[in-house]
Amino acid sequence: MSECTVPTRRKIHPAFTMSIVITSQITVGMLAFQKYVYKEAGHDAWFSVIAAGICAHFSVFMIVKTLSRFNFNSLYEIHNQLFGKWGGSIINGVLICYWLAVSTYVLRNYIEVLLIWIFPDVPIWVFGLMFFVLIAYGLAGGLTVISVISFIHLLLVSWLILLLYFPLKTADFHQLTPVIEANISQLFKGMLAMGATIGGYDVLFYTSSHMKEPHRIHRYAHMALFIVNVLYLMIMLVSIGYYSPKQIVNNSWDTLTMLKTVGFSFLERFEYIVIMMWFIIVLANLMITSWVIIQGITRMVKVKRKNVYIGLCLVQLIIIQMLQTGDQLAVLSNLINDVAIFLSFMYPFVLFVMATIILGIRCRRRKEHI
Amino acid sequence: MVKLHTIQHMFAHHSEFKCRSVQVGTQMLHVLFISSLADEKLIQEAVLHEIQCPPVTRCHVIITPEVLLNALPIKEAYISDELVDISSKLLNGWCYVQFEQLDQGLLLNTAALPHRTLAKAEIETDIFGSQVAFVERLATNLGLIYQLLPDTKLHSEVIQIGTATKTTVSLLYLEGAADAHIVEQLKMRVAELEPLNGVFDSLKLAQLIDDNSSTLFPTILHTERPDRVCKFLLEGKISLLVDGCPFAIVCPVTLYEFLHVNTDMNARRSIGILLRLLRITAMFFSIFGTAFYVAAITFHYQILPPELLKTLIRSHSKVPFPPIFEALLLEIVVELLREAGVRLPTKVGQTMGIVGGIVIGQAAVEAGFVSNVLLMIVALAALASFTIPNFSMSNTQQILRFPFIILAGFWGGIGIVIGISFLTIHLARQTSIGKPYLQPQSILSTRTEEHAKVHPWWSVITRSAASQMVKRNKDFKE
Amino acid sequence: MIIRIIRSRRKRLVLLIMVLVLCIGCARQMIIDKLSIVIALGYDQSQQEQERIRTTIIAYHATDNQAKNTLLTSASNNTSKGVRTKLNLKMPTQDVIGQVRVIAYGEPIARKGIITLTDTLQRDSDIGTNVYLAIAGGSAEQIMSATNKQQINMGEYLYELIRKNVNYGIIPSSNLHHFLSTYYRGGKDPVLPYLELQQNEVVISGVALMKDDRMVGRLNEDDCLLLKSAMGNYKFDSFELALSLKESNHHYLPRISPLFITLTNIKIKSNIKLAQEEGPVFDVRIRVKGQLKEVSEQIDLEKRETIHALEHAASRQIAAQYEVLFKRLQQMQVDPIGYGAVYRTSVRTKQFATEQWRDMYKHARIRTDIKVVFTNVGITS
Repeated sequence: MSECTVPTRRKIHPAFTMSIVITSQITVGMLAFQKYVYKEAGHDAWFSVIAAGICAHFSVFMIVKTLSRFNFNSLYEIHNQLFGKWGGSIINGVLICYWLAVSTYVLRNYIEVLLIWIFPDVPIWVFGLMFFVLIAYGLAGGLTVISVISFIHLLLVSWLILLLYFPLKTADFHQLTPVIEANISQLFKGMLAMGATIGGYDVLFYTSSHMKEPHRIHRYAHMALFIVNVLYLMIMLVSIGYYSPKQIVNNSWDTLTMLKTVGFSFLERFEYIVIMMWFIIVLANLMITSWVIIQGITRMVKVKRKNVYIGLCLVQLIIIQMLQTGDQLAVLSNLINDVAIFLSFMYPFVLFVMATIILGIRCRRRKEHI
Repeated sequence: MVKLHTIQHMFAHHSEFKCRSVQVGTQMLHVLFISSLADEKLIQEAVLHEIQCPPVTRCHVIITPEVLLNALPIKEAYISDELVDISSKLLNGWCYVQFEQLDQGLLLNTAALPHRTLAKAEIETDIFGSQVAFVERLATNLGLIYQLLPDTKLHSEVIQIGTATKTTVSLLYLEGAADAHIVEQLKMRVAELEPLNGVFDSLKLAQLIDDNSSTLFPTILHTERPDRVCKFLLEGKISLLVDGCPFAIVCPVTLYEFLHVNTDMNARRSIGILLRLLRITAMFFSIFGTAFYVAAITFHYQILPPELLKTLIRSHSKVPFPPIFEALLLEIVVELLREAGVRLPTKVGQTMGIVGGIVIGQAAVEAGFVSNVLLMIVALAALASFTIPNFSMSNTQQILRFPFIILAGFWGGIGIVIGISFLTIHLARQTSIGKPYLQPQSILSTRTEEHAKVHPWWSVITRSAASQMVKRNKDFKE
Repeated sequence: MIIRIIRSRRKRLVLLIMVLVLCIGCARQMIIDKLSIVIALGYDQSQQEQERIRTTIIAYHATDNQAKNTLLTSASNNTSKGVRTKLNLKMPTQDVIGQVRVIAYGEPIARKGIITLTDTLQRDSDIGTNVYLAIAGGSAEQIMSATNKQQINMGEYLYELIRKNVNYGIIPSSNLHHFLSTYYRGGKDPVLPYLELQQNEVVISGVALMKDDRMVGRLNEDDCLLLKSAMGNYKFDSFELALSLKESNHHYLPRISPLFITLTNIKIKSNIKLAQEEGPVFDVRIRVKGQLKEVSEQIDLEKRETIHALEHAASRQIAAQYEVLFKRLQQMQVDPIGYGAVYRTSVRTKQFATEQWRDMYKHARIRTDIKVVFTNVGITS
């Protein structure tokens, strides 16, 4: 049933799932997610964050259950097994397009931050080129190298969470009361607005085939998801306390503006430092998504991975050059949010149900034949 | 006769080649040796004296090599008739007793090669721990290691490489602790170097056998202290010693071993941790200090607090160059000083140090060539780079600074971060004889692999629970 | 040929480096001593018809010997950034606004409303949110062109003045973030320090009360402490009270009026709760703890009853002052203390509009519960 092409020596420790999942999730939304959730749920946005987090845990549970049925093969193989060669290829193609869109969005979003804050006059393709060169260098080492890189980059960035102390000092948490004033539909809409922000954990589907002892992945995946949820919750709570209602909705980059007040005697305006450090997290994320895309394409077509990557770079370069303005980016952002809700939250359940049904039918058919 | 002439012809141009002919009874014996390499006293006392001594000549009418083999009190002796063997042994200080009519002769180990006495470590000085360092002679070095690690499981295998130098390389490992696969790999790699002309240094050998010699970072550690080598052997690493070089090389290593010093383990634990933290901070400051300054001054004026801004403007206002240029200028001057300092004769050293360091720096600031803040940062960074215990890593660090300064000068903070990314990706991809460079051994072994371990690395430094003399009380004392 | 280059490893490296080098000239350098770093901005009503505002700037400008040579220039245009276009024509170096620390609005323009002027401060990512806003009596240009006794840069002087008084003194926090947060929060009005030129010296003479974003009144220094203490828990250095003891029936206290006392090292904890939704009625609870360091008459403070009596008198005095302040704020229809915000956080409503609150504020009542405690009376009795 399994076509494991990875030799045992090159498999990686399952604890790396943590760093891979965390990196995949926090890059998309961390800098600016408060606005969208607050618009829907008001000052009860923190509740939406918690609810979305719990749903994500259920999703991860389903993902691991599905994977364990198929002996922890990657999702591309699962599709091929369930839907046959052509059906599986079509669905894999759709998935690859989704990951391509996410990758381009993350890249273009970060370039937007760079353009607004640091270097307004540098053309977009220059930033893109910088990223592509570094990603190529990292991809050449395979998932082993990528997992180590994502771990190190996470460590390098982890101290930034302590900066939340400064806005916390001037926050007024009375703004959280009265508690749960929003009604269910508002809270639900707030949860939907969190879709893409939390939705990066489905990278689990693709990386688990390269892990040693894959039956232990679930605890690392849940731990990673828990850490990310707590992180988002903390940032949301501090934002609600720090800002007043219309301020959050007015501001497009809430987290960064919040960190403008951080200052020490030797360095002020820490949002610049945060933006610089964010570069390395975005890089790790792009490496992971590029790896996922290349995995998918090489399984369908017999091309060298290097050439696939060059093609990928060209496509992404063209797309980010086309997205010249901020509102074009917003269109892409909304699109990805909607698709992410389906693919990250609902698809694992759907897949599990379909897998049970199809495998059950095949089992019965085999029994009948015997 | 034929044999003697051949050998004499071979060594005709060797000024130290001696041939002492002795008539014993009816036979003619020739004692051949190279006088600067052989122990002449031993030859006189143990060889010539015994040959000329009456008991030997009286007992036997005909003396054969076997007789001499049994009679002479030399520690290593055997009978040989191969020219290649004889000539190589002669060149190693052995002495050859040639019998007149016979083809075979006796080779006797009378080697007394010139060597240095044991001395203190010059490069890797340390406060605690044994101070003795390796010397150029392989036998002495091996002796030092065997003294510290008298275990039959310590395997040492000898390989000879280099057609002209015929250097002996000794591969040491602890059976059971070291990975057999890696030992095989290493043996193969060293054996492949046989066709080379000559290998003089273990560091050169390291470059020839490592995975990727084009990287800046050393993937094989060198050390001149036997206690460090023994610690590494216990951890399951493999060490190579080269005859003629006082440095041993150890592999496979990770990046963290280059920053470890024995003091960390020998001093008290908390002090060791603090010292290690200090060293890591010094390393970061040394690589990134100047680059941060250049980036902040050139692109990111917003991140400077008010008082610091005034100081920096004041210090930079006299300088006519952009910050990247003055930073590179100063760094190159510091590199020049460093390089000159290595080669200065001791008599001139002190004066030049003062002139270079103080006068040039002061004069440059007064003339307005460099800013005094930058001078201070560069000097501190240079100082910080000397805290790295391993010299190769220290060199790497010196060189690493320059790309960061250039990146910072052109791209500001983003440049520095691009550099950091490139560095981490590069390090993540490096392997040291197959083992990943950044992943310490046994940190990430899964449960199934843990059972296979024999010597966990921390067992060297922690006491077992049984030896804890003082029982920890859960509560306050009465 | 290109394929040959791509195949050869060394040539690939060279091509890569060339590509990177090409990208190098892209970013614009901002070397700090080649810039005019603006540290203070002033907005005024423009005298001419066509232009809306007049901006004055103070900037660091490095010259050969003195690095903090300051530049004071002004120009007029319709928008803040538009003014900078004109300013650029007057200055030899590029002006940059990232380090601005104090922004002063002239009183006439403040009375018209300043939120449109703060728009660029919000939008521009260069400007930090720790910028101090202040209202300048007269005109901002006048304040900024004044000299000061310490002979330091006026922008720095203003920054240090406001910062010290906000962090350790009686002026409520007035940085950009606080201003915007209060403005955007329904039920609270912002408060900014009021700068005045008194005898050729720039001083903070109280606070300016804003209704939304328009200045409607002033409070002088004596009321500032009460105002700030009602907003939250703060520490102050000293507080002088005038106690009127004529009505007191304590025979321990002399019947002198007014009796001045000074408290130091004051910690004030204040709490505002909504007592009744109808009204609305608020419970104001203030606890003052301080050291009694100066009394203007000779009083024997050995007895506990004397101290308690003084504390009582002080509490009554502060309560009275507070009521007066509250009435005054009600009349001006401004709510800087934030009763509206307290109402919002206590009552479940679907909508909360500022206009609705202003109506309710007219009829709001407070019940004060103020207690003063002297932690000690110094080293003499």
